[in-house]
Amino acid sequence: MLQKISQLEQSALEAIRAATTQDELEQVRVIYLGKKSDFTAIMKSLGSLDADQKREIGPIANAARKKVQEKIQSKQQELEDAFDAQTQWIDVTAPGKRDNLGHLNPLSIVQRDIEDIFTSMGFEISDGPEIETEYYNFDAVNVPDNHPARDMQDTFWIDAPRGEKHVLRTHTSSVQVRYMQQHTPPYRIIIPGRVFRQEATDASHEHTFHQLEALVVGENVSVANFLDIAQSFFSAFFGREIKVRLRPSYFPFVEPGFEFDISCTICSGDGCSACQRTGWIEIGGAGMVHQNVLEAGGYEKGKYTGFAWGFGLERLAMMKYKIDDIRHFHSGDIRVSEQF
Amino acid sequence: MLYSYKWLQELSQTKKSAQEIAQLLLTHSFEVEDVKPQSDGLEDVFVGHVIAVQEHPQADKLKIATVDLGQEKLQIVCGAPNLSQGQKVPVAIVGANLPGDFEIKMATIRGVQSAGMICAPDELGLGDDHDGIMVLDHDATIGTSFAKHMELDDTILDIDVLPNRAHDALSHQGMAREIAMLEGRKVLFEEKNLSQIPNGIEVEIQTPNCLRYVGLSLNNITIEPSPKWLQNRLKSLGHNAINNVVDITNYIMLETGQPLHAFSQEYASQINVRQAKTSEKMTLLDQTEVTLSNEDIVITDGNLPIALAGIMGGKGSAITDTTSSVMLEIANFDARSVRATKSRYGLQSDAAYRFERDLDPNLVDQSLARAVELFEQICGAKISAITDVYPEPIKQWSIALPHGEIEKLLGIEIEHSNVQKILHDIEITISQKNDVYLCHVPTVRKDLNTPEDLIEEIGRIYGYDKIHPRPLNEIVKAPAKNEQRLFERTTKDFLITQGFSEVRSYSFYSQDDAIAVGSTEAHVSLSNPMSSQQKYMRRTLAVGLLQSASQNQSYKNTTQLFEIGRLYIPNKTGLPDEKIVLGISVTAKSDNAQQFYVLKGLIDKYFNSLGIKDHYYSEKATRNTTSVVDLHPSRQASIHLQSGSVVGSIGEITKNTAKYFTVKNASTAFCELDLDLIRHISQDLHEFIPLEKYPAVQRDLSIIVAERTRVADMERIIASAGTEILQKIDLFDLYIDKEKAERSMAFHLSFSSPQRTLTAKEVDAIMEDITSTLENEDDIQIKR
Repeated sequence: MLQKISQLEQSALEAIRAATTQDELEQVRVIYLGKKSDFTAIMKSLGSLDADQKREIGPIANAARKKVQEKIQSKQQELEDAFDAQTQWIDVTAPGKRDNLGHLNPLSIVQRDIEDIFTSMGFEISDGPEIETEYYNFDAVNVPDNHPARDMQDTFWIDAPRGEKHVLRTHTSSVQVRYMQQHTPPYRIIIPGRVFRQEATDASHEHTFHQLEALVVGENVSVANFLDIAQSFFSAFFGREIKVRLRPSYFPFVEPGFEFDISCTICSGDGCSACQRTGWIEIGGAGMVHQNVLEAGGYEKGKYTGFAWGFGLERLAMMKYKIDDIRHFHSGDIRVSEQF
Repeated sequence: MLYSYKWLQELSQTKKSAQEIAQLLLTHSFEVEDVKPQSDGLEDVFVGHVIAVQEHPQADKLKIATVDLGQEKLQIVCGAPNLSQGQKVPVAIVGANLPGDFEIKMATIRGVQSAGMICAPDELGLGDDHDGIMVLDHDATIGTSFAKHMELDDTILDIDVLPNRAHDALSHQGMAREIAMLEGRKVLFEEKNLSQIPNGIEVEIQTPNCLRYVGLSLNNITIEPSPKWLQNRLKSLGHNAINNVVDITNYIMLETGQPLHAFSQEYASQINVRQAKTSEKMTLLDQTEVTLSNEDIVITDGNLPIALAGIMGGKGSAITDTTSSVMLEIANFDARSVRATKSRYGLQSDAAYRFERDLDPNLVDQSLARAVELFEQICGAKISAITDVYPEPIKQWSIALPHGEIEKLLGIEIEHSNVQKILHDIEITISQKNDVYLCHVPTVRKDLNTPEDLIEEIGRIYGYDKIHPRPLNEIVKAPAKNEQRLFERTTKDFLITQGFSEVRSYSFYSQDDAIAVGSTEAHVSLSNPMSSQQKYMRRTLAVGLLQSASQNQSYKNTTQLFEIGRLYIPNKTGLPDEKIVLGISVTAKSDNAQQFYVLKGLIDKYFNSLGIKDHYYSEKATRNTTSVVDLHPSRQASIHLQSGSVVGSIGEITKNTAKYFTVKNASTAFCELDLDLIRHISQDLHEFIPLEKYPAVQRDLSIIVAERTRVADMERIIASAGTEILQKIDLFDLYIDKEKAERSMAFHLSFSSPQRTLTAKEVDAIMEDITSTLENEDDIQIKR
């Protein structure tokens, strides 16, 4: 009997293996496990055996039957998969269904980055008009009429037959005194915005560009504080440690006044082609807010100190993304923004 | 300004190289734009001897020269008319890279080989003379370096002196003083005792705008070219050599910073400085004729103007070849007045450049000493008379600087002794009282007026690199949000997920552009635009978007663009209004109204994302301050908020506009929205509405209507008949049967009540009301 069970199991497994279609497998199932099959007969015959034999043979017969059953099931799955693969093929390399995605101008991305970093350092974001009075753009920030400092910025003037003269703001410093007149220190703000210079354009000059001005006013605010804020900002922006270097310079709205450089973002100061082997890259202007400006803002002379600094957003975007021509930002060519 | 390294070296006694000086100045004083040895580009130029000249067989104007360079003889084809045998000439050999990046290569010119070039002065970076080759002195040694022969062994520094230091540093003496100071030394410039010269020229100052006037009478002068060294020095610093008298005045200006002017004495025997009379006329040295204003200062001979003070001499009184006596002017004029006059007539001169930067009247003394010396030395001039009119001599002033202010402003502690040394080095005398320095400032340092000015001096000389970062004392507070910027951000993010790309365009356009979009509104305009194409400040974003759409046509079949930017709306008084608007455009190559609906769908989705509901569209875009564009007459609408106020307009760009912007074979839908208004509305919207507790019942309704029946009107009828339990009407099918001139519309209607579950029976009853109301209208059939 045991031998018979074993033979039966062997031949069933053989038949399963040989089956190549679902129909053939079904026939195998009927032959080996159907009502009239040998397994069914054996199971039925178990009843006539004595108790000892039943105890010995029963489990073996059951196990063999179960094994055949499982094999059929797994073969069944295998054949189904093969069938689906045959009949339900798709080309996974064909393109997915996608809606077009739009893109931001790279300036917007850089501006967000910058605004987020400054916001995290407690800076408020402020702005003012792009068409500005001569007063706020120049006089209030200590650039009097008839002073050669006026020549440092080529200015677009607005047609105005009478009254106060208006300009396209030449810098975001025009917002300084406006803000001061509405607020009492201490405060820290940034002013990112569009500015204009009446100058010919080329790959590195635009008549329309964006500046970011940062202004901190309080009691005992110093150059050392500026260095700390500037280094934190640039390190966060470029994702690596950045040092700031000051060089003496002159802007009428600050005293002392500086040009500032950052350590090269490519070589960290060792010298490479990006920084013309100097290890430093010129970024912007800075200084301690001139007391005349604070006074124009309505503060008592000498009560507060503060620093102001600014740089061009385009310049930072060009450095970050290696953009070769400043005119790309306002070109309207969507092949520019599509890369972002 | 250009500075000669050798001259600075002579005056400052520095041992540093030009590069080292540049570095020193960069760290402590000035930006140095360029450091350029004069021999740059002349390394492969040698003195050659023209030993033979032959005609070129193929060209009349060319000659073939044989040039001896000592080591070798070269054959060079040359076109210069002044070439002749026996000349000593500068020869650039093959491989030379001349100034201006001009590389000399082996060449065959009309069949004849040429191994180099005989150079004209301009090709060697020496002026702009290109009339012929440069002919050298006869005793020039064959084969020596050209630069060496010419003594071009100086290095020129281009140093950027900004207005704050123009009073003291726009001169070789001033720069030398700075260099020596940074090296911890002091230089003294010789002053001459001129008391023995008789006071003889009649000088009268009749205007407060002339602060000092020195007239010096020089006789026994022969006008001739100045010595080579003087000519070379002037040329190397970008000045032309003219004659001995003029060259000396320029030389002294470069040395001391003080402009001088030489008159022919016969026209300037008497000097009167006064304001010009209105409409007085004069002809200047450069032939310009100016009609003067009473705000100009003139030098007169007692009667008529002979110079425009501080700017330019008059033509009539100029030095000529026959001048033998000179009236030399060394004066000081009010900076603002000079600047105003210069701007008024658009004049530029070295003198004006300096005077408008506010010179120290005491600078006259140094220049006077040099003038006497050089005119005697170079021209053999006899100084016969001098007059110095200086109504209110400028004296030193004092600034009180409390020591504590230094650390307060710089954020670094600097010891008293260091502070004192630095102040002393910049020639400030100090008297100290407790912790306050009382500083007496030399008059040439007009930039030093406040304690901060002095702190800057201390900081830069001590070294800004010694300042270490320090965190701010004030604690960080959460900054106020800038709602507007955040809102712009949300809007941009929404639009890019919808497939729209951001462009940024200029704030200005041309009058033609404005007309092309149909705007006749007044625009703010620039008085000095880059070009007439950029004269008007924009009142719509349509121009920029259409320009961009046109530009991108070659890459895209469909362009979906947006811009957020400001419009400038003129005001009668005060600044223009600046409105922040969102402009969106959809351009596609199809002629139906699809783009309009794409854009309209986008606006609805955008409003939905902001929680704005119940906005609606009405035919005819309302023209207002932010909607100035003429759109397709029957494909345009105003966009209203629930309150009725207009938030923008939408429509198709007209064929003519599209043609102007060369948006070809495509149609464009455009909308412009008032972003500030949308932001304010969307901020007020966020209140939670309780969820519906009872299920909604859906019914569909199909109707057939006349072709031009509007969906909005049908919805209105359905809504009012549907009572308050009709919660939602959704058009899901719209079909036009052109032949029958009919439209069919199909709606999903959704009914629900917040109080209870609706029964089918009551919804059926309402549906019955709706259909009968519709049927009562003309031209509406219910499709059953």
